Amino acid sequence: MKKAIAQKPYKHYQGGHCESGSVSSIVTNYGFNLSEPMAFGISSNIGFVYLPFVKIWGRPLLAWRMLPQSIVRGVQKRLGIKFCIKTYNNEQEAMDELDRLLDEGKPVGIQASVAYLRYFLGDFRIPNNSHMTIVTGREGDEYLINDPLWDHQTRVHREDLQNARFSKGPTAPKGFMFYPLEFPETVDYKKAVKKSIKRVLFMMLQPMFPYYGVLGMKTFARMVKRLRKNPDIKAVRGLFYHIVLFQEEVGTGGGGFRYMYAAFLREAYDLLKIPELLEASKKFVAIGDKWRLAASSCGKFIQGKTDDVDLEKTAQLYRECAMEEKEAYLLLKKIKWK
Amino acid sequence: MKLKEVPQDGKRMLKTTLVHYAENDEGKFEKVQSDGWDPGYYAGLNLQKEFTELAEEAKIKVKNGQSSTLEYFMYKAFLDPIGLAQFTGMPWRKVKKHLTPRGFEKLDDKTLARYAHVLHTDVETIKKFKSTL
Repeated sequence: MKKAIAQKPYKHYQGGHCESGSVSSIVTNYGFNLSEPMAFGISSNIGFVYLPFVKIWGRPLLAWRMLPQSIVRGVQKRLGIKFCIKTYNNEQEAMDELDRLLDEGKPVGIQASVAYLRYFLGDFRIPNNSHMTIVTGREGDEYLINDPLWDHQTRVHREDLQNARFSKGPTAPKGFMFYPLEFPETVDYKKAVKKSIKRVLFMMLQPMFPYYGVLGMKTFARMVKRLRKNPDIKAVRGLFYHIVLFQEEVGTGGGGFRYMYAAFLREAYDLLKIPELLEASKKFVAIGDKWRLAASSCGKFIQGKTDDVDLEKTAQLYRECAMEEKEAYLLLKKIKWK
Repeated sequence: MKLKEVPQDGKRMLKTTLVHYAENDEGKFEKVQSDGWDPGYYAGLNLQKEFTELAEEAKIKVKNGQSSTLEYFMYKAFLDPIGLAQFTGMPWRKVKKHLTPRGFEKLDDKTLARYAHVLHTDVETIKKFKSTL
């Protein structure tokens, strides 16, 4: 194991997704080369959840990945990078610890609520707790933030940062903080990739719970198809922009993380030279395009230009997503790891 | 997605460009800056509009004495009643009571401060709101 030493000045990396972006950015700055797709894929974060009984703004919960904080823990487990991961009960203690680390010159990754980060959406203060970002320094009462979604460095006031770190509600951050401590000398990528892919296969091809994985996608497609009988156009439109928002806009890197996973498979192929990985990578690009097509097939309806929409076609597209993804996973299952 | 297919529609909710992973001609993946995608932009805009409309409706209700001031500030902070209960950490039963005009009048300053923290305002603004209408 070698010790992680923070490099100065902090080099900013922009990423497609907040958590994988911040993990790869902070780890690279401490001196271990880790790309964003690799961080995302190695922690087997791809997934699909559709929970109609958990409501956000009265609409079902939809996610194309696992829970927040799982990438940090996943990278720690699979690659053997030792992180310092902490949560706090006391707000003052957490801020003092952050100040101490920043004064030592160590950048720190934190979980924060979007609503209190003023630079994020301006007046559109969505209450969402699961944003990950990096604090790299402080000047007086202001903290320097290298947000992985942003193309430049931003600033946040101390009071706002404290509120953001201790927001209540679902997936509450509780002052969650992480930074790398030690790196391994060598990494057995074959073992790590094998384990991560097997985990994805186990989760996505599970035959029991109808709201997760490929089965979940089918349930979701059925729900979309049933909407054509719904006479309330406004509610249907609301549901659709909810879907598009969570699939494409909320820092997914496009196509519900499928492009990012394709990039991971391609990187794994470059390392391990297993032909199935290349083939699967190409399939995942096609799947990402299909998710995108399904989302844009009701684009004009979302904009409010027309009231008639071909929901049968959209539902069919979502169903095809499920079928194609199942094929891709079955392809990955055929790989002979020795 | 090929490099050329990365959306560049020019409108976006976030005040930054977003990164997408796209395939180049050799089949390798590159980070590409995207300048916003229309369906995604309008999805975000519509959500904002929906809550602004709800807040305006609540304003009229407050003026007529049919609803509590909290309802207006709740929609202004993009929350629904269940969300308000979750983010303040108060029981759903109490939040429902506070959202009625009678329940709101009985609120003490301490509870009001808890609401104000989540709704991005202060106690005075909430108290004075009805008289400014």
